[in-house]
Amino acid sequence: MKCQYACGTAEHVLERRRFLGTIAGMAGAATLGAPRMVQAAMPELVAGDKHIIMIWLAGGVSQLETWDPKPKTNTGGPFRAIPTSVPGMHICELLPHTAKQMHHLAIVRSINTKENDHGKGAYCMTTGRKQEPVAQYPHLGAVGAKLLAPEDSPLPGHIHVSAGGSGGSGNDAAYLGPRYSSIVLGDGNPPRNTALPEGITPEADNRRHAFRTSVNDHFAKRRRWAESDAFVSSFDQARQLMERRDVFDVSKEAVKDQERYGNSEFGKQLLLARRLVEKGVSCVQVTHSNYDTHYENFDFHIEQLGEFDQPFATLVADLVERGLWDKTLVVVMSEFGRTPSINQFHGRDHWGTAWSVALGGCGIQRGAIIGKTNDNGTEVADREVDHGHLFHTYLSAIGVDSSGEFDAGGRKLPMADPAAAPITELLA
Amino acid sequence: MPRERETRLLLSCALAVVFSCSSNVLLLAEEAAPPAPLHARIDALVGASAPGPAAPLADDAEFLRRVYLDLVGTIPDAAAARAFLDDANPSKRAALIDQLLASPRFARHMQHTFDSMWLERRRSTLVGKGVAADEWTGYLYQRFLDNKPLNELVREILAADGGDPKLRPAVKFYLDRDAEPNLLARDVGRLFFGHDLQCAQCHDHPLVNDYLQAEYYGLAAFFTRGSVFTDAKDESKLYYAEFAEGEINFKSVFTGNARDRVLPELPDGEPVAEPKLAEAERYVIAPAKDVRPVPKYSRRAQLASLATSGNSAAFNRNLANRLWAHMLGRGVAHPLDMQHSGNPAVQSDLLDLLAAELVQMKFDIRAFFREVALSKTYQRTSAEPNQAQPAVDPGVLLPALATWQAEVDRLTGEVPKLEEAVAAADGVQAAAYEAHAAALDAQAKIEKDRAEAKKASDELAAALAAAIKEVETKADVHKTLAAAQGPAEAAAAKLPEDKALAEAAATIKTRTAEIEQALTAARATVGEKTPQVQAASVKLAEFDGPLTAVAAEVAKTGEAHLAAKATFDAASMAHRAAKAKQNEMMARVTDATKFLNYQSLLAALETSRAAVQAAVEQVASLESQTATEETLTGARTEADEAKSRSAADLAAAEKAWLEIVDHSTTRFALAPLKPLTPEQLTWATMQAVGMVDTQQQALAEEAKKAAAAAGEMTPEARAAFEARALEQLVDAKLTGNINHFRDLFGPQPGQAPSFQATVHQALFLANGGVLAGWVNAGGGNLTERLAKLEDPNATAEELYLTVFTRRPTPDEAKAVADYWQASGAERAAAARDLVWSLVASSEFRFNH
Repeated sequence: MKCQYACGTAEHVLERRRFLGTIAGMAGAATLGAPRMVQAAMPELVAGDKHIIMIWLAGGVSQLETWDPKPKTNTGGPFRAIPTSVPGMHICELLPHTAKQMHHLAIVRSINTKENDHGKGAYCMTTGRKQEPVAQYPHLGAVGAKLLAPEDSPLPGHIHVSAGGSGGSGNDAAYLGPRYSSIVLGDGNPPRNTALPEGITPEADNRRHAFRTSVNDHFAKRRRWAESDAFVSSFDQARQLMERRDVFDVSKEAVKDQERYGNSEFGKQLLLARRLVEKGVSCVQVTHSNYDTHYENFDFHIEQLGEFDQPFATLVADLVERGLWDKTLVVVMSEFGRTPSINQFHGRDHWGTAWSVALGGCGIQRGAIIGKTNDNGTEVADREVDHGHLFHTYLSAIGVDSSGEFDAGGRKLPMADPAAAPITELLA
Repeated sequence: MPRERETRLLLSCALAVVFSCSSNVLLLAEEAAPPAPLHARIDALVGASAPGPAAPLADDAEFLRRVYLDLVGTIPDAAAARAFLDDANPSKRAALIDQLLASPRFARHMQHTFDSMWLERRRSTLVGKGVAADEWTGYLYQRFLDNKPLNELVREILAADGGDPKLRPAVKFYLDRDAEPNLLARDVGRLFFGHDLQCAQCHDHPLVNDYLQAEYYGLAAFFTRGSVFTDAKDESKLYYAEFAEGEINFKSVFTGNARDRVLPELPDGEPVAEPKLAEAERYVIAPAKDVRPVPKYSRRAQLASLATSGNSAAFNRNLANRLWAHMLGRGVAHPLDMQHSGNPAVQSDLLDLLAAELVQMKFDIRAFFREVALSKTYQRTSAEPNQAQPAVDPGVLLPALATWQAEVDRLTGEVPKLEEAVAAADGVQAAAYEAHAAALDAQAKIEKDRAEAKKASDELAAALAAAIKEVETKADVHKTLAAAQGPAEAAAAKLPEDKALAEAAATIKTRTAEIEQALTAARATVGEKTPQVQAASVKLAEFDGPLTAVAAEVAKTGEAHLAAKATFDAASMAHRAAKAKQNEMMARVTDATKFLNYQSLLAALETSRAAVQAAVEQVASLESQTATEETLTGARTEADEAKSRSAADLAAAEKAWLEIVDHSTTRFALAPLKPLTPEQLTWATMQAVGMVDTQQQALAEEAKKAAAAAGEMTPEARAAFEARALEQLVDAKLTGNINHFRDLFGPQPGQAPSFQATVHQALFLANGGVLAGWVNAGGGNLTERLAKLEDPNATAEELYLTVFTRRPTPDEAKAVADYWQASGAERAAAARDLVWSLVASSEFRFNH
């Protein structure tokens, strides 16, 4: 880590007060501009109209039953490899619909995170860092929201769509702060507190907000700070969000579309992800559970991937067709893959040593295969990468210089692990 | 309170007032024997280094709300606000400060403050294990209730291992960090010494930061022997276990400097000379399966005692800085955990004074807060001054500026020399460490050789002993046989017919001869081994000299290394101090220059505005005179140019003004806005809507009974007892509500506090069931009280006093009356919405 303290205090002091405009009000004939607003928040880039959809196959999907099949080997299991829309690229026969979309996607087959624990593996893959006691790092969705979500957007920048879930916040933004923490949308419900409380009519609501505004204006006459302005504008954003509550309502999508995504929970969630991205949400994570197949790996993968395949292929095709593919990074990942060796219960165990991730959209090359494993998948044979390289690659794909830094209260923090770098050959 | 005079005070005068005040105080301090009280010295120091004027004092209402929030973490009720505002006693502020410090709510607020400071809202992974949250908060509350000196409280926490049942909650600090040495080094560095050494863990850039790395490991060395210990009989019971062995080492990736054995060391401190205990003597309780080891010498206990002794400058400064920040909204050194020469205190003499006085006061938090709260510096308004006024008097500022610049120049000359001294001392230190390491290695080699020689010598000695034993045994047999031989032969001679007897005598003779031979051989062996053993013993003795010598060498080089380290530490401290001072003074000069420039920017603005005025008049007059088109165009162009020049001047003045206001805030000349913590926000909201009052009324009787049941006491003691009991009862009822606010308004777990306004906070306040329920009329709450009031003015006053701790302005009172009017018969709904509007406003969200 680069040792960058808040050197040169003067430069680091944000101008927290906003201009009150009394000089402008002084007698004078000149027509003068409106009071200047000081840039209050960290003046970091917004990378433009880009999005991230992360599909999390919880428990650890098997690379052998998905992106890196090894049929007819001692580790391959019973399934065949099928050709895809990319000549020479084969994936497992459990993904027939996805196979037809592979010319939009890329596969990284040479991941070694050296992590076989659910919690630690998930931490690696979602933050791009090894879990260490002395530091907490923000989730990809929080980083994405920080970099992509416009400051004045009323919509949350970071949403987790899950079955169940409390509708609360994920506390996964670390030093980026609660603003970028995930909002959990469970059971198809909108975010919390987006409906008027009981007993308050829309008219009364308007009246009370108008009064609140006049109270705020009085305070701002002599005490106008970036913090108080941010607080005041958070209410404006909240009201805009309330007006756009139907953004979270997947039933507003065309019936035909709902049918195409299928009736499964996961299908609805992916359709909601599409809807959220179309409406301007920066980062969406959809979780599909559960792939932790220590027993009966093959039966479970038939079932789980049977649920996954068609909605996912539909999402890819839709994003392409709707012109969203070039500005939406889609990543399918897990905390780790599964062991090549098959255990006595026909299961596969945790395996961070040689596994795969599929991704596409934004700046990711179409149809690429990065790295490879050996013949029976027991180790990486070429171009070994880890979570750090992947994280750099995601940021590069959305157009961000991944060697950049965040400024957290005067402390400069690298956006991605400085010891890693993007997988440049994966970038278009 | 001469409020009118205060507010009418022009800024230019304010500057003069500050400066004359400060010089008076300084004079007083020199003449009179007892030093001026701390609050006066604070004001004098802040004034003397101010590059610009200070804001006037806050009015009573502003002060009242602020001091409540800072000292008891909530706002006063309307009755208390009214009483204070209407009190004509000139010393009412001091009286209020004392009253709040004596209140049980002070202990509660400190409990919240230090809980979030020290645990940083971490979520323990130890669910159902370790120390429960309420045991810990109860412990903190009791400590603050007892006014335990802060250093003693920290000592309990740093020395905790969970073994003493009375102090068990204190071990939460370690347990909730899993006793992880790196995390503890970082957090203890940040929270108790104000140094974030995290980046120093891996590497740092050459020299200047090299000592940071050594410092980091010096701190980590205190924790490297510790771990979490689980009671085998009760797995929910965890302890901090410490071993007597274990060293930490590091290697700098830049300079290649490495240390195999890092001695524990406080930041800014000296390495701790540790007792050398023989292996058998290291433990009070030796480690074993399911046994928590307790070392005789505990590094953790050593840290606790060194840090809190009052002699650790870094510890004292950090604590003083954090207490100051609690009151003033920011540290003298800021951010609070990044004190270093590149980020110096905005005013080091102020921080030195605060730290020294805190020690002088024996770390009495109430005494310290009292003085801070009494200072004018604390009591300044947060209302922005009028920027159209001239900001400074150059006649006063220019001489000060010259002095500061001279100081910068002096330090700029000095710093490179000090840097060289550090480099030189670093070389000496590294060499001394090498010499010491070499002596230790040599000692180890000799000890190894001697051990081998000893082994050989012992083997020889054992062989000799065996041979001697052999001789003894054989000699004994021989003696017996020889004694038997004569009589046997005599007996055989007397009975010549007895063949058996003759044979026996012959056998005895033969045996005697044989054994004699064997004896001779054994004696020969002894004779042979004896000189060998002597030789070996001599050889062994030969090690004594070198061993003594090398031990002396180890001792000598060890001392030399410590001395070289001390020299290096002194040099680097001197370098750091000078560098920090240089940066501090440079910043002061820069800020002062901005104040001066602002004057000329304002003058330029005035001139350019006059030019615009003139040019516009010229155009108007030409237009009325029907001048030629050409003349008119020329005049108009000129007017436009004048306007754009004036606009540029205005923009420059605005920018300069913003910087000035900002510097005034960071230099404590103007009070900042402090966002309420989740705990303050919860309690202030509950107070405002009337929930606290309701609970107090409901529980008053119970508190009274508790006091009555507590036995004989004086009326004062009984009143205090009752107040404590009531506070505890009300807190127990309401404290759970903090959970609604904590996650939304607090920082993420393990992160230092920072402000963020989020949509989710606004949605929670606007639509959430919690606040909606609280502001609905009922249970005698504020909404219900307001709905019953007939007079709109009385309504406005009650509303503003209760929620904002001030009376409404006439405009505000009218706005309330209008709202009342517009709502018609829906009084309760209107009252509810008015209460909500104020609670959800920025004036309520911030401590100002």
